[in-house]
Amino acid sequence: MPFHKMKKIISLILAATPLLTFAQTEEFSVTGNAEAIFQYLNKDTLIGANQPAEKALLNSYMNVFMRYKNFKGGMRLESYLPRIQGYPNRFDGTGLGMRYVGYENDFVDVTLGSFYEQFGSGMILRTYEDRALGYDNFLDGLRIILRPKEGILLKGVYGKQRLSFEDGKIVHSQGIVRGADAELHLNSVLKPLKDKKLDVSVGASFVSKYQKDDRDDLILPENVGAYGGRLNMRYKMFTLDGEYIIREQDPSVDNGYIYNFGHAALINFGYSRKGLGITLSAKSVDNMSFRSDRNKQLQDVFINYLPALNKTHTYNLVATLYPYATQPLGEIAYQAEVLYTIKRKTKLGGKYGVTLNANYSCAYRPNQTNINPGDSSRVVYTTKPYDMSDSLYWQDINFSIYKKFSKNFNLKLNYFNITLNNDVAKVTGDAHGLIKSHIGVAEMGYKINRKHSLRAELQGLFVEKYHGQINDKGNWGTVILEYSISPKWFFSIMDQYNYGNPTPSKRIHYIYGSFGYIKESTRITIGYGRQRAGLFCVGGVCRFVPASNGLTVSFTQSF
Amino acid sequence: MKKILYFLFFSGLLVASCDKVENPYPNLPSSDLDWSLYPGGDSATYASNGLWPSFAANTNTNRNVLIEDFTGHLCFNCPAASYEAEQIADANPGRVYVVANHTGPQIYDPNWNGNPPSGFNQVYTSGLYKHNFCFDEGLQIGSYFGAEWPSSNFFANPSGMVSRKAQNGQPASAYTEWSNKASTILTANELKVNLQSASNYFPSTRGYFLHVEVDILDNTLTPDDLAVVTFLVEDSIVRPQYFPGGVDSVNYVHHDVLRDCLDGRFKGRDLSDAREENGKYYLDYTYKLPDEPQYNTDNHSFEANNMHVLIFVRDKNTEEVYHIIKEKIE
Repeated sequence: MPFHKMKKIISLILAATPLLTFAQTEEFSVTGNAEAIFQYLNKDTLIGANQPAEKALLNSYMNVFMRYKNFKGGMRLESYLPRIQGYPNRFDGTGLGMRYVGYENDFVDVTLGSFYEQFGSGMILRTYEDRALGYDNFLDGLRIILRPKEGILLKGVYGKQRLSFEDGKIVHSQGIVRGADAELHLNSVLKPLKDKKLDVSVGASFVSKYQKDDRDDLILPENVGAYGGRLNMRYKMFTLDGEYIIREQDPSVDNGYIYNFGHAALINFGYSRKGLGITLSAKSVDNMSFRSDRNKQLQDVFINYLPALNKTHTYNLVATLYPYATQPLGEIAYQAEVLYTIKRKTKLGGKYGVTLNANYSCAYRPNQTNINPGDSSRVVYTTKPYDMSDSLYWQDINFSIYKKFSKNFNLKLNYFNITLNNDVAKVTGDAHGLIKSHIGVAEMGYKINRKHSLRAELQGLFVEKYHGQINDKGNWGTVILEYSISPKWFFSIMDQYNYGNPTPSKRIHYIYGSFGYIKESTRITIGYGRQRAGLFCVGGVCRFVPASNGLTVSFTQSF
Repeated sequence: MKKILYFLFFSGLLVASCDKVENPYPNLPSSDLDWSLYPGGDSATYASNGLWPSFAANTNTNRNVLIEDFTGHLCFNCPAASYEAEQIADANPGRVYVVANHTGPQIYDPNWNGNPPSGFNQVYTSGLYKHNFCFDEGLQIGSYFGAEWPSSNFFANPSGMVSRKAQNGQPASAYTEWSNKASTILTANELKVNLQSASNYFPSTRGYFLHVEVDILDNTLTPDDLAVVTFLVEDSIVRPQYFPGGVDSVNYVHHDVLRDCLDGRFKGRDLSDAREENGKYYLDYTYKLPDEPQYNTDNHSFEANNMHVLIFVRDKNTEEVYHIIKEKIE
């Protein structure tokens, strides 16, 4: 090696030495996580699963977050070679999917690059990532957060949203998003409220997007604004939160290019004491699909997030067959939940106590008074907050009871009554109108010894007939068995059986087996079997996942 | 606190940057049309539904002819004139248009006290002849070319005008001259003004929307010289007609009867008031098709499919009709 080259390498190593030194100091930190999911898929005509041309698919990413004193930086490298099933099919290649640098002290927090932000409950602005959904709508641009005084928080954001990831590069949405938010904790700001038991915060937000008018036949508003306020109160064991957002004219593909204003209102009431928790929520949404590109649909480039007012279910049949997707064009939704624990060492509570949970949620179509649909203003109806019609979109009534019978055995019994309007929140092409289902789940846990434990789930889903005919795919049964050898191993097998399918040849067992190995912060899972097609939803945001049959290997690592 | 004020100030600027669109449709030519006659909405919706025409280049090179037949159901010589007019039109399809105006100069007699005027009695409605073919603008036309025209030779029906082209200062003439007059104009075929039209009819409101394009080809003419007239014409009305020898033809078919002027003006609208675009002139009309004639005396009702509109351009100085086209109501 020539001397000048050697000299260069030595110089580089020397230059990097301080960084290596920082990595071992408290002032410098590196954190992150990595995940890889590999699929090898077989063709399975019985369930409609296809084998991709590549046969094997791989999603992987790694987040790296660094801090040095007040400086911060982060990035995420993503790789889709090609993307696994259910992910947006345009995701492709390897490259930087997110990156930012920033500076933060007690007064200011400035970020340049990709950032995630939320104003209030998110009904006006929320950018977030959900890897399971393949959802990422971060803003790429500038964010400044100011804390000028105790109890005052000011935020300003300006950027373009991530739309896609193609050929290893971030693809941005067409529109530019600008926003500002102010939050005041009145107890800190106003002297008379200091040390009061009533804790009050108020906030106000404004978000605007710009997108060029791209139609000849309509005059589109290029700058679309949304604004609103919120109030959060806490008094002893009670909480009351409310937020109201107005979005001005935003004609889009979603709303059929109408020029109505939109609104979103959310009220949450909570009461909590030991052994009892009550929450009541009410939501009113009309014409609130707010995206940075008016021509996009599905889950693309939403600026806002409309929280789903229904319980997040985890049991397989409950969560994945008839999930509810938020209706941004309009819904009036309510939810009530009571959690009550019967004290231990009582007649009903027994030795360990009993936990009861009851939950009710519903969503209805808003009442809309039609104006002449041909009116030149293209304001086609009027509506009022919380003015609901009798057209049901969704209803969920569920109860659960959990009892620990001994140190080694516990049982949870659940009942769910779910009604879903498939004409509106479409989850299946095999049903029309309301799908009414009853689901029973028994979950048992048995601790064999200090390291070995067994968990079992028995699930049954029964669909009411529709005009005397079996509706959708009929009844289902599911059995799950999990065996864990703490802390490193776990094994599970699941059989979903569509025994009530009206077509006998489609009464299929979806059997999926998996096992995993965990060592410290490393986890490897290997699974094989059939997975049925369906909607995968998180918080009312859903994505369709096609049927598959094959091997899945996943690897996760955090550091 | 200063920083908060700055923050609020900049937030205010953002708020101010919102666009509000009162009318989402690109600007339309201004028009005073009666949009209540359009059941689908208003002007913008009308345009967005593709109803507002966009005229292609006008390929017509022919000058068409208007024959105005002044007639009457009690005028026993009039059927012969009407027959002659129809014959000329049939011999020149698409080139000659006939309109039968049941009026004459003597009708316009302010001293008329209800007694049948002498000469021809087309407004006379009694006995067998109950149907009243008259309307206000028709009477005004009769008066204008009869009583008011200097040294008028139009003193009795049948009489008529061929494109109102005057000979020896007189536009009216006997029906025996109509054929020659029409031939002369058709042969010369001097197209000074070209016309195009488009229309939409909405049965639920009986609303008729007419759009006319006028192209001045003769550069000696200006919009100040011209006016556009619109005639509503009803065809094939079966009503009695008086024939020579005192014969009542009960089931006589009255053709091409003039019923109204769309804009209520027998002289039409001045072209100088029209909208000009790229050297052409545009006029738009809305008209509510009446359920019945203006002077209905025998329960006659109008049917849209039995009516059409004649659109012509007249010279305001000479009254000559330079061109005429027909537009259906459908």
